Amino acid sequence: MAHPLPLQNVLRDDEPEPTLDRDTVLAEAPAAEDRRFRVPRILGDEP
Amino acid sequence: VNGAAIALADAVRSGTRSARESVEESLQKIATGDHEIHAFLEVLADQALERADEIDRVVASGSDPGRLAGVPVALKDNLCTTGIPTTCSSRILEGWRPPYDATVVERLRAAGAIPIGKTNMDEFAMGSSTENSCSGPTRNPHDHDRVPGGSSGGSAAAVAAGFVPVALGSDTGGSIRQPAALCGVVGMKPTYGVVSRYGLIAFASSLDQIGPLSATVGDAALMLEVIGGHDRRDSTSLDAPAPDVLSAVEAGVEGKRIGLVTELVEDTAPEVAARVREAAEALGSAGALVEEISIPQFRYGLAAYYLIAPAEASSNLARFDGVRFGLRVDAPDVAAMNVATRTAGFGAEVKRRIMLGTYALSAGYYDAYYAKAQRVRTLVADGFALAYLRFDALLGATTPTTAFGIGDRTEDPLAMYLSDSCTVPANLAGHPAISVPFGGDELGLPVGVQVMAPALGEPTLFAVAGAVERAAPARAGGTA
Repeated sequence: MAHPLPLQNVLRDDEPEPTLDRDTVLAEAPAAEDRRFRVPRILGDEP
Repeated sequence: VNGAAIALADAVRSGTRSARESVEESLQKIATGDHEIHAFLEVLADQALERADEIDRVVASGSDPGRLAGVPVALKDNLCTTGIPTTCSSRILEGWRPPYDATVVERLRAAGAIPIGKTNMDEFAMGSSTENSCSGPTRNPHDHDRVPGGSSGGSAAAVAAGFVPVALGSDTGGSIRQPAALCGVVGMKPTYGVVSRYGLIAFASSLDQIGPLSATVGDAALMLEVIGGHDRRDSTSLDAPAPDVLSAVEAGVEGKRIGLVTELVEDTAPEVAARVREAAEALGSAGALVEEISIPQFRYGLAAYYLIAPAEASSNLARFDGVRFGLRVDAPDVAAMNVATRTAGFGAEVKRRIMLGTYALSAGYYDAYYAKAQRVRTLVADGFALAYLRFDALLGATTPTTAFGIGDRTEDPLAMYLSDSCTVPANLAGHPAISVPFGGDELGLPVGVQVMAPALGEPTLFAVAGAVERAAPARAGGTA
């Protein structure tokens, strides 16, 4: 038993809805730039 | 129905008491008493008073502010509150302000309740004593050298100390019921899916449920009616209205078949077992048919729980990566930043459970640990199903012992885990359960009696809990 409920495929209609405000969310991030989350380099600089 | 929140809301709605007075009284008690208890991480004095004035204006205008009008509520700090720090008592979320309210918070506000503060907890709800908090332990109002239980220890202590009439907690393996028992208050875990988890910071998603803590069974019933019911933002939310439970509290137990679970009596301290047997006798005197039943599968519940819950937690806590919220410890590349952030941000118990969980889910051990634990979970559910062929509700202890000393179990994680042995079966099965105070031990420390019912059996649960409450003896130690 992985789950206490027999619910399956709980989906809503595929219609666009408002989501959280981007600026409010980014204001809580440790670092943001150009309306995106900013992170340190992902790939090394070795060729 | 008897209850401090019920009476308070009635008084505010009828204009005999102002919401402002009610909030001022709560704030005053917190200001006087919480420096010793440390139930709260954050007190929302200005916001609460502002909201109280709004409620009073609604009453003055002749409208009804709702069923919890002017009632101060304490919220466990894993429930998201718009613009108000929500930390899970973890360094990794220090200073984070959620951009939205949890559904339960939204529903409380809509019913006129007034959030008065965020309560202390074991970090990410992992613990049974509220000692695993980055802000230090909460103390049991009945004895300041003892723990309040956990992980909703701040919420339980806030109610026990009389700071608020009602609070919300979350229960993954007993985190509402166990602290309720240790603090001498009522704590209730609903059927999985009855209360929306939207805005509850997840620990183990197939087990977590939000529920009320209160001084009386009636207040817990009112709270459940307000916070329960379908929510489309939680895909595990049951498509059903909130259960009708307030009317059940005084319905009595005439003819109800109640099973006293051997495993939830025998494996507990003698004085706890004695109180549970007294509660069973009292239910018999009130007209219930009480018989003992052994559910041997319960003894395997704890081991399964401590694989399933960490496995789910190890996945859920991956979101705390230093990118989108809370703490970031800088490092030259992303992977090193993730590691540095988690190393500094998570406490020892959270790290232990993430490691246990990832180990149990790893390729070579998945079948031996996680898959086997899931099979044991089915066995526990089967044990319940068999018992409910004969009984309407089950009775046992909420905890193996009364409140233990601060520091007594912090060096021995397994001793701490054993605190949850009586409560985890209901989480594994997804069933509702409630702890009701029933007398005390020789030191006057509170004992909790646990009532369990089948899925969506909340009306029966509250009927039995109401009867237990009416039969409860006074505690030797007096009031907190």
